[in-house]
Amino acid sequence: MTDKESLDRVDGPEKVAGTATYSAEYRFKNLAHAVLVTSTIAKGEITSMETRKAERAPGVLTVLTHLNAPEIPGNPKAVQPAGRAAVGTAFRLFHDRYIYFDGQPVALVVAETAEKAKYAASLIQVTYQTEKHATDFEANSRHAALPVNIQRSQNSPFKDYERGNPGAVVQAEVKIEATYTIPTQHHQPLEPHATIAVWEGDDKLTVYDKNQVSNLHRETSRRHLN
Amino acid sequence: MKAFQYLRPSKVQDAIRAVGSDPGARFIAGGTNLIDLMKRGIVSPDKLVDINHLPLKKISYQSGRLKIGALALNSEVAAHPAVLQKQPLLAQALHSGASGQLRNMATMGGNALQRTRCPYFYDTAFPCNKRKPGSGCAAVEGINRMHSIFGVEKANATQSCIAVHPSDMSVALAALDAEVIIQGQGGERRIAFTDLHRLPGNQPELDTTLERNELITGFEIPDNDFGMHAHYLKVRDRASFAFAIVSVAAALDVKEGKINAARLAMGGVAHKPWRLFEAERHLLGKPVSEALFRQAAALGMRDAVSFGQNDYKLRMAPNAVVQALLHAAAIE
Amino acid sequence: MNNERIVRGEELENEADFSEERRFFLKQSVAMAGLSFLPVPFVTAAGGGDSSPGNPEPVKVTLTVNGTRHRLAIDVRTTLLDLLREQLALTGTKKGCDFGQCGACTVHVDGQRTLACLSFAIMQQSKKVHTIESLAKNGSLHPLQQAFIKHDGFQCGYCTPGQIMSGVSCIREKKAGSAEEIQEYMSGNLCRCGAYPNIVNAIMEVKNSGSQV
Repeated sequence: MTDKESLDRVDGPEKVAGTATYSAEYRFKNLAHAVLVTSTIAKGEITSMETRKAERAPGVLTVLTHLNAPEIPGNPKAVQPAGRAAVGTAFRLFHDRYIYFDGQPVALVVAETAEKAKYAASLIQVTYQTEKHATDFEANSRHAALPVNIQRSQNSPFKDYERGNPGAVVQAEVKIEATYTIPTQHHQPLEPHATIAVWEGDDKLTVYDKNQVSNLHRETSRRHLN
Repeated sequence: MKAFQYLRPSKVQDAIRAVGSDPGARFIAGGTNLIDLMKRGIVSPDKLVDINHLPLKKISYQSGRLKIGALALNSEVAAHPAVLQKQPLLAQALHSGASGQLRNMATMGGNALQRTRCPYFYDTAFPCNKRKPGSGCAAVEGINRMHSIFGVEKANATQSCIAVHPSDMSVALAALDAEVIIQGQGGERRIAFTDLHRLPGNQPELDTTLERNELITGFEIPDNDFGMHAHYLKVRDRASFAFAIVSVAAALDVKEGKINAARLAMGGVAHKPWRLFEAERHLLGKPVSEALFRQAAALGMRDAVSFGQNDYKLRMAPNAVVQALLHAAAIE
Repeated sequence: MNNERIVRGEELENEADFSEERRFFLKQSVAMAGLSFLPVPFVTAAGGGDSSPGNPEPVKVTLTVNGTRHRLAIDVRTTLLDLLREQLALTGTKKGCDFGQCGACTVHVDGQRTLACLSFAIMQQSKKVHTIESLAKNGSLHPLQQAFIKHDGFQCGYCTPGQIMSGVSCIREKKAGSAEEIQEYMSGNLCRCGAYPNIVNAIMEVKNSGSQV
């Protein structure tokens, strides 16, 4: 297309004027503010949590942890095996004392204002029993295995493939052998995660959220809250 | 963040008294580093004494000295005609730091007193002798590609600190023989800029030699004959808005083909701006050449150590010194 | 939950007219941001945890935002960014990193571009603040806002208000003389969608047009 044919984004005027509404920017009366407390280890278990100071901090409405969080009604009823959940099990928030990843939410502080919630969150003390984690991709790649379903599938885009004549390199006059690596790239949009949840009656919850598939998100929320 | 008491004095002595009388009180100027640290719970003052209303913003040139108030903004100083004319190295270094927005907020005093950006200083889940004396240094065996190669004994490192002082401005002020004017409850004192920051030793929690109730009120830089033969070279992970991995401030006074005076300071390599005094002396009286610069750089590296991820700095640092000197001498 | 206890800063005095909606919003003095899920790492035994109450008396600040003078009672910890977004409902100024690393919160204070997230609101006493909402005049977008649309200087749009406020300053500071100069002087504004070349083009065009910015 030439410049003349190109289309302006329909959301352009609002975005450049600062009037486009992002997930944290919907306004309601009487909102409480929640701040997550996250794990400082990558693997292990929580041995104790000191939340009393946070609970008593000014403006705090509640502190949720795996010790007091209500069961999520829509979670499957099957009881997990004692101990750490098996690899591949869907992560359950505030479900058990185990740490599965660095930065895992371990407590949620709800308070009257964001400042008060953040301050109270800083008062929570957690002790962990740390286990050895394996997060170095290069160091662990020798343990890698191709998932079974990819090996089986004829059309998997993840299978090794060949084209041209790989044997030609043997006869090549000039050979360059080198290993190329790329640094880790993180998918981190600038807008932080933020969710506003508003009860509109006993059986209707409206969620304002930053996500990529809103209908899927709605269905998941509905299923979990039953 | 903890709530704090907020004071806004208009007189220097009132500000100093307010901090001196309360161990939990801190001065705040531009706030670009302190607010960051407060949000992360690294520093939790009971009281903030806002010094922005003190009369310390003036930039002037008098009788052979450039005088810069501690509250002059980095952007103002970097663009000031007297600075550009008399001390272009300082303007270059200031301009290479931070971003347009931050330079509009950061003051000269605050820039000099900014804390290290060592990731372990910023993460309360890890030991850090600077944040919590006696807890250890996670960087020695951890992520240390940004860390010191000078001013720390390898055998003693875990009891000390291998973090670097992050300011570009400080490197230029160290090279230019700047003086720091310090006001305390008892009166004024002056020290060489190179004596403002300290090596970590067994008290890594102390970045500087300032007493708690002392306030930097300004800086003075004496005239020199470097003219435009001064260069600030900054090596960093991206082309702009990043801290130095290695930086060099180089200034030369060349008369009749021979080096009459030389100044060399490095950033990103130590707990303080690192002057290369021995390398400077080696240059004196000799004709300018790349070979000479290489000798000087090698002399400057004699006491360097490294900790694994920052091994590369042992090669990068002398190369940067040579490049900066070549620029300063206008040989390219 | 007793909603009446949720008391945010109180507008003490306000010298300009507001729409009914804005006035209602300010007078109600309620919390406006929702559940903002900002991870706060644990403060372990090694950290600086403390037990002081952290419940300050509100402090008073007077400042002018987009030409309107406000007298407000605020939590002393409130940043200029939170004051704009939560108390004055000016959400055009964005909270990206909240630590001075992304530039999404760029506003003009006394005419100079600064970062609202690294400014305590209490320290803005008597200052004049301008936000992205002040740029459009009489329903017409500012030339740089128009140029961002024309050159497609964004995708998600979250960095855009900060980019535009910074870009206006870049032109006013006479640091938009070339693509290289713009890149250097716009380095404090990150764009994770990668619209940088288009942003540079938008700023170049407005600078070269000689428009009043």
